[in-house]
Amino acid sequence: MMDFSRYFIGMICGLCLLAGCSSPDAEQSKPAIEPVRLQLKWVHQAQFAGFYMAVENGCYEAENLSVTFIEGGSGIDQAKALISGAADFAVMAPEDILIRRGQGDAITALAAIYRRSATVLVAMADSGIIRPQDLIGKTVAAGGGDGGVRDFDLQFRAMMKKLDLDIGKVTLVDYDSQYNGFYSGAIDVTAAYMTGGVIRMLNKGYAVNLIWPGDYGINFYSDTLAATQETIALRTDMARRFVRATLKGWHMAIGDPQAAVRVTMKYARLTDENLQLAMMEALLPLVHTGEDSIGWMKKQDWRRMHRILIEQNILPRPITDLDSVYTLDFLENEKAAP
Amino acid sequence: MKLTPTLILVFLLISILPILLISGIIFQTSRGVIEKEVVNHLVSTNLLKSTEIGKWIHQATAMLEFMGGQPHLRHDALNMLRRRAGGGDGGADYQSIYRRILNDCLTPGITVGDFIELMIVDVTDGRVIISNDSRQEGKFFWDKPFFQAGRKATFIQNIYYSMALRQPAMTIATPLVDDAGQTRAVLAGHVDLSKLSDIMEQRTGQTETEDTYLVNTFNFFVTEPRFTSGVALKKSIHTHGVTAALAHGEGVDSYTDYRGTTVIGAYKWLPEWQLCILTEIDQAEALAPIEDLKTMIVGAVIGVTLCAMLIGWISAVAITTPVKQLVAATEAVGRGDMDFRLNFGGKNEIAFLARSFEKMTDQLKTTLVSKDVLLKEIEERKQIESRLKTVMADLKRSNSELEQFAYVASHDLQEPLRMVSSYTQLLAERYQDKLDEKAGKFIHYAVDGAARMQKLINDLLAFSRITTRGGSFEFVSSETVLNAALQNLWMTLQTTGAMVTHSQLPQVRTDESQLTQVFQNLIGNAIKFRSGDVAHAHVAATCQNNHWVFSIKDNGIGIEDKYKKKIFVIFQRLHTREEYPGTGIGLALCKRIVERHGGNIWFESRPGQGTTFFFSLPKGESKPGVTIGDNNDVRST
Repeated sequence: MMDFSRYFIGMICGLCLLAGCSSPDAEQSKPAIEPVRLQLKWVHQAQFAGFYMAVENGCYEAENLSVTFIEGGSGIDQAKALISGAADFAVMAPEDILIRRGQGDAITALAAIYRRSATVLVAMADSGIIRPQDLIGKTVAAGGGDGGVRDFDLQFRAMMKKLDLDIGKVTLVDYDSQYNGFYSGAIDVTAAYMTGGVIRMLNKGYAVNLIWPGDYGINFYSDTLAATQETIALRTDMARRFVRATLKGWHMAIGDPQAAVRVTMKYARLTDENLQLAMMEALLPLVHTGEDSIGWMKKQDWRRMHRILIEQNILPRPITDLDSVYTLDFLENEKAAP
Repeated sequence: MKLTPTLILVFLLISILPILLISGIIFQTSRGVIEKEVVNHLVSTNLLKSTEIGKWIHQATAMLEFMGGQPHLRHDALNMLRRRAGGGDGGADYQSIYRRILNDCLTPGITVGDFIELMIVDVTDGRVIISNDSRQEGKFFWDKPFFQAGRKATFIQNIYYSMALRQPAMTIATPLVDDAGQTRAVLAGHVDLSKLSDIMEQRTGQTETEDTYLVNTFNFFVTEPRFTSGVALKKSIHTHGVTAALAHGEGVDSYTDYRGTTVIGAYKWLPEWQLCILTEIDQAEALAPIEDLKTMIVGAVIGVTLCAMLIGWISAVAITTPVKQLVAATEAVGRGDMDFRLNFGGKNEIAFLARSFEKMTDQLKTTLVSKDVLLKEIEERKQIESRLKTVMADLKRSNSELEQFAYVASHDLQEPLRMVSSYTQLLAERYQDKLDEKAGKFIHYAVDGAARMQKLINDLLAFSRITTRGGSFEFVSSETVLNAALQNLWMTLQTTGAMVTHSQLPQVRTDESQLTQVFQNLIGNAIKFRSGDVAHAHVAATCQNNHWVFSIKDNGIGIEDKYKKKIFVIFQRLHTREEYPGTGIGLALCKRIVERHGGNIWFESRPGQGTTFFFSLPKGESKPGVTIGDNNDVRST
């Protein structure tokens, strides 16, 4: 009797297996689409073209991911979105990651999308200001501001310190995103993003000199992809697939800026395509440097950024496990992939 | 299939197949040669340019190393560094050294070498202490690979995007060492990449679309390709050629280039520079000679095709036109128009055919005329036959009625005649003595007349019975029949002493009693009309034209020729009753009997020398064993 029951159950199981195997429905063999939320650093624009390209070219879909973008903006805290679980991933400034880690938030960088900072100091071309030394005695609009433009103040101060220039000899005023004082001549130098303000200035017909802190040893990453350590630990495969699809999207965007702008126009708040194209062209050398692969991070970069934050008293004390602020696991995984 | 399309098709096939074959061979051969030339050209261009790149970079490197090895440069640079370390970079002495380095080394270096910038970087902090581009001074290159590696040995940093220059750059760096061999600074130079582009752009001038460019390991353009600009390190390229080269491959293939144009491209991986070089040419241009050849061949094929079709059409028309005319002619002839003329000239087969056709129609025309005549004749004959049949039927009916009449008359007349005769004879017997001589004579006449009449009636009856009461035809020996006749004549023969002989006689198909009658009458006549001599008759038979011809020859008085017809007419007599008794029915009977048998009767005679009567009888199916000879006469008396 026992044998018969076993035989019967075995037969049923066999039939079920057979039915499952022979089913032509591919969806059954593929895992279900996993929803993923990405908190952006700012409003939709060409700055995030790589993410849009990954969506539009089916990179996420190929990885069984369905990505929802959460727009950033003034007053939106990306780290908070991660910690609260409102977002799975976030595009953040690297200094924010370090600061949050300093505050105990378990956030880790996965890839540096912008391996060079877009932050730049701008002077009028006829001002004679071409290097940081020329800033002494001048009025510079790079101070204050909220989290969104914290990097202006941070990088300016760090650069002056690095060059042993006395910031006290500079009239530091708050950054004005409209640049009215700069245009009027009341302000000699203003901070700006190469991918934003500088384009607007050029579009207005101003000829400008750019002082890039990166040339003076202040090498900060800009947009960095981050997630909580919990996400990385518990949803490692999903994170790996997300990073893979994202880098693929960025590769596509960099490889064909015009197509990236076309795709961006589906999302962009500012519908001036030329503006988005200019932004795209400006961000190209920041994302693709010609060295290493897109998204690649370096230990010394993180150490330098950490040091600068300590020096600037932005981080009250050193982060003990600095190497866990970022992980190269996902990037190395992609590098190893054919 | 009709003749015209068939002929056109045949001409097409005959002309096109060979030309297609030959064209195909020529095309394939030429294509191979042209393609080989293109491939060789592209590959050699790649080789040439990659060699030039290598040469150019090595020259620049050698130049930089040469500069770095110059004692005065090293000396001045070390001095500068020392002063800078001592915080004296603003002094006049420092400025003097600065200008010397700038004027004596860096500026000439820019002029002579292919650099856009030459600089000296302090090894302690990676800062530019002097550059021919003053804007670059003070910048930090600590983290740059060329600085990091250049501290140890000469290093070439492959093409990257320089934020300092805001453009793609390739930087060569070489250490500047002090007398102790310690690196104190790095002499670095950004090579002028436009020279690289110049090398890429150097073209043979033979082609309009030849395009050579470099692509880095990230799939980005390194030099500007021919048909677009501003893409160096700004745009990636993912063509088949690039993919194949980045897989460290080398080869030539046809693929779609960055413009979306199909090109033939030679790709090559340059391991030393971690770049791929691609030389491409638009397939349209590369294969233009092939296209020209193709156009020429297609043109030739089309031309030949048209010619073949034209020739085929002309030939078809040349053949079908007369054929159509012939068809029209046959239709016309079919409708009965025999006068349709084709009027073909020439000496070809069609003309022969046409002439034969016309000849045939002429003959047909004649035949038709003859046919008409024949038909008319047949019609007339039919009418005649019809009339004849009517006449025959009338005649038959008339004959039949006559025979019936003769029979009835002879039969019915006998009874009253017998009464007249009997009573006249009774009158004569009873009143012989009571009547005078005259009355006796008259009675005699009456009796005689009645007897004669009776005789006449009997004869007439016999005559009519020949057809109405005739017996059936059987095969009998004519000799037996002759003997029966002679038997009947026995008394006469006895009384006259006449002699009858005969040859051997055949079997004949006959009504025996009627043939007996014929023999009897003819032999009887031979005896009756004997001349003074004893009568002699000879019966013989010969075979002529499927008939037995019997002859009864006598030595009698003979018959004059003028009675030839009259003699066979019933009751016709040539002599008076007194000279020769008889009613004159004998020969008429014979004639009728012979005719009933399908034969004929005639005679040959010379008065006074005897007569020969002939009658013929159809042979019918002869019986075997009967032969006839002349030397076997039989005599009867």
